[in-house]
Amino acid sequence: MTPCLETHIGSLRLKTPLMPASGTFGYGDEYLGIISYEPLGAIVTKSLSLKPKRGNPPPRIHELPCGMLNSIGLENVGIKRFLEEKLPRLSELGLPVVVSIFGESEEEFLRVGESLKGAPSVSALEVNLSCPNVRKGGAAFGADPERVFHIIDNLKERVDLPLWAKLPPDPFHILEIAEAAQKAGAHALTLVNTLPAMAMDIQRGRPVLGGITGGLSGPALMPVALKMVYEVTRKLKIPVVAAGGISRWEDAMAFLLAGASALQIGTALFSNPRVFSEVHEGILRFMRERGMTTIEDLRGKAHEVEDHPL
Amino acid sequence: MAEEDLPQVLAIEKASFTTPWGRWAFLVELKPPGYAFVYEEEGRILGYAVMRIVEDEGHLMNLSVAPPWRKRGIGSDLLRFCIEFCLHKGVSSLWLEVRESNEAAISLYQKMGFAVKGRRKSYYQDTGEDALLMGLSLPRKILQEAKVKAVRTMGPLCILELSLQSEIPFEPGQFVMIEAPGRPLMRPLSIFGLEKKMLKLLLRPVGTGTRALVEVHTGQTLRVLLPLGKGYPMPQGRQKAWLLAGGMGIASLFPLALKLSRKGIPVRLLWGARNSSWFPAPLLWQLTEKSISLELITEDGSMGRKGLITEVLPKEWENATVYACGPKEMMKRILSIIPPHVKVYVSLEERMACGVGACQACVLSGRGGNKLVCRDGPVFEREEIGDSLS
Ligand SMILES: Cc1cc2nc3c(=O)[nH]c(=O)nc-3n(C[C@H](O)[C@H](O)[C@H](O)COP(=O)(O)OP(=O)(O)OC[C@H]3O[C@@H](n4cnc5c(N)ncnc54)[C@H](O)[C@@H]3O)c2cc1C
Ligand SMILES: Cc1cc2nc3c(=O)[nH]c(=O)nc-3n(C[C@H](O)[C@H](O)[C@H](O)COP(=O)(O)O)c2cc1C
Ligand code: FES
Repeated sequence: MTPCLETHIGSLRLKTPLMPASGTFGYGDEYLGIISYEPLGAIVTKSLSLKPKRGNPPPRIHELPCGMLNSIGLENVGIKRFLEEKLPRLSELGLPVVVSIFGESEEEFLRVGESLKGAPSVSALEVNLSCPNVRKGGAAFGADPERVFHIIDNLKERVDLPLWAKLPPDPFHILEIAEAAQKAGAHALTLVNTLPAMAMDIQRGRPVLGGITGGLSGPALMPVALKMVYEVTRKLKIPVVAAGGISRWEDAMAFLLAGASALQIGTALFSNPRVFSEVHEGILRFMRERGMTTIEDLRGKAHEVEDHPL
Repeated sequence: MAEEDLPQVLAIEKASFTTPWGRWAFLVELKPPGYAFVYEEEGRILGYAVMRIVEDEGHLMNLSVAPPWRKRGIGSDLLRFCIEFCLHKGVSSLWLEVRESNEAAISLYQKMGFAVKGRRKSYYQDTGEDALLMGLSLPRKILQEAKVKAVRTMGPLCILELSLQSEIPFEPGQFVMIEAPGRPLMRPLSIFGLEKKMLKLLLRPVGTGTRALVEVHTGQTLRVLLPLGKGYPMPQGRQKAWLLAGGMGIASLFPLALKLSRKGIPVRLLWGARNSSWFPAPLLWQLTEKSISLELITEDGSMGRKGLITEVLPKEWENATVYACGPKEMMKRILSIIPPHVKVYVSLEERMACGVGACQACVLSGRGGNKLVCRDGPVFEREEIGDSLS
């Protein structure tokens, strides 16, 4: 029997736990025809703000031995054009759409969220509380439990869609922040966004990135994300969508064992656009070999190991 | 679809059409070039689609949903599946005929991006009704595993020859994203040549990725995504073409020169570089076609004229369309020197991650708004660039 990869994020059913990470998959149709969308359980859009954003000057990316930096600066078409031009095409893919939203103020988060009320085929909002590449809003919000509570709480009151709070990779304060999001009624957490970082151009004596600093993603980020997912799912009930350096099926498996309910892949897509299919096949093969039939046979299994008493 | 599905399929067929297909008609389509798919729920067949694929064209022959199950999106699911299937087979267009009176079907096809392309008179024998011919062109960006055939080092340059799994048309100016072994990001490289499954890239090892690429061995496979971006448009009317290549800029202008010359358009190609080692003889030979006039310029005077390409530009630009590719400084100079009424196309470089417009890394930012080099370029018309290079 083929194992079933179906997973649930609150009331939302996904046929597989795999989805692209926000900002790496455009508005969902850029990879059509290049890769199969079959292994995807959902699509996650680029983060959208109320007004279009121009983003940061180039260079916007920098490659590292084990990942990359980006300082895109949330360039996006704005929520209005998204609803008019992008969402109709997205709706035709037949996959649940998770719209990532961003605001420079609490007010902006609410207004972007409200404009998505009743939008066809939008299944959830991912609230980007963690972008390191913008001066206002962004990671500053996600680092503050009270702010997180406020934004989620207000959105919940006004927007009747499942909310996923996307948080920054702050391993020291994650529990506190995650708890605030859960208390405010978030349906899930997305862990994690990129880690604030920079690179130096020593020849020119200045930072490499046009945005000066950027966010670290890719394999370098994975062990940090893994530990955060493990810790949060052990302590809290809220489902976690994991992101951070997943590039092989073994990485995906690690996050499932650590307690993740779903998995996002970003940076790995750039070097291997077929990564979704490969991860999908890898998980199925592993489960089949061990006689597992559902994702639940895997999810959080690592929690059963006793914590080492310090 | 398998032979044992036929009883259920035939029942739906009979309930759907006035002149249904018979058993043999389906049997023939169960093997290539025929492809048949069923939509199944709990072991019951609710619908099916039949198509043929010949070369890079797909033809949807039949699509039907059992009457009690219509209006539930099963038709669109089947169609979507067929489209995905075609994309994976490298199909570039999908065609179908539909009865002019079948509005439900026409609207479904239109929703999926099909457009009416023609009409077949009295196509249906039962009623004598016309058929509308509808077509969908599929994006041709393809991800492939390419096999390294040869790595030819020529002075500071290197030609990488790779064999692709299928033939792919391209326009000079378009590029590929290619795996750089061991690196987290693919590298953008212009298509230097692409003929009969043989892809050629001209590169210079400058950093980690390009060095890894010149060290690959024959037989190794590399992931490539191609053809990407927009190529150079052809000159209008009776124009001559002026090609200005700065160093590695020759990589995209070389196939352009050959294409123009094959079309009988006179080409004047100025190629500037640091010194003579940049002009490998095999490349120069290939440029000795009669409609191409080649002028070499070196900074040290070791070959051709001495100086910078921007210092030896002609004064006369009448009836010329200019194509330029080279370092940013050279492009800036060229745009400021060439009179504004002359049509100029330039090819630009920017760091890229996805190559397909999904990550917003490769921005070209100007007063008129942002453009993406990978999607809106890399070839831009002068007017599109505006103040972006300054
Ligand atoms: C559309 C396009 C076509 C190109 N065609 C060719 C070609 O035909 N032949 C050729 O030799 N070079 C070409 N280049 C430049 C080539 O992409 C870079 O030389 C190469 O990416 C450098 O990679 P590296 O790993 O050696 O350098 P590193 O400095 O190690 O690269 C680090 C990162 O910066 C990026 N990067 C560095 N320099 C450039 C650059 N000039 N442009 C874009 N990204 C850069 C790399 O891709 C990588 O992500 C082209 C660039 C573009 C955008
Ligand atoms: C180019 C790029 C753009 C990104 N843009 C966004 C964004 O708009 N919103 C967001 O929430 N996260 C964004 N991210 C972060 C990713 O969604 C993801 O959380 C992070 O990259 C870690 O996953 P990865 O290692 O698989 O890439 C971006 C990442 C990259 C590399
Ligand atoms: S490289 Fe990703 S948008 Fe151009």
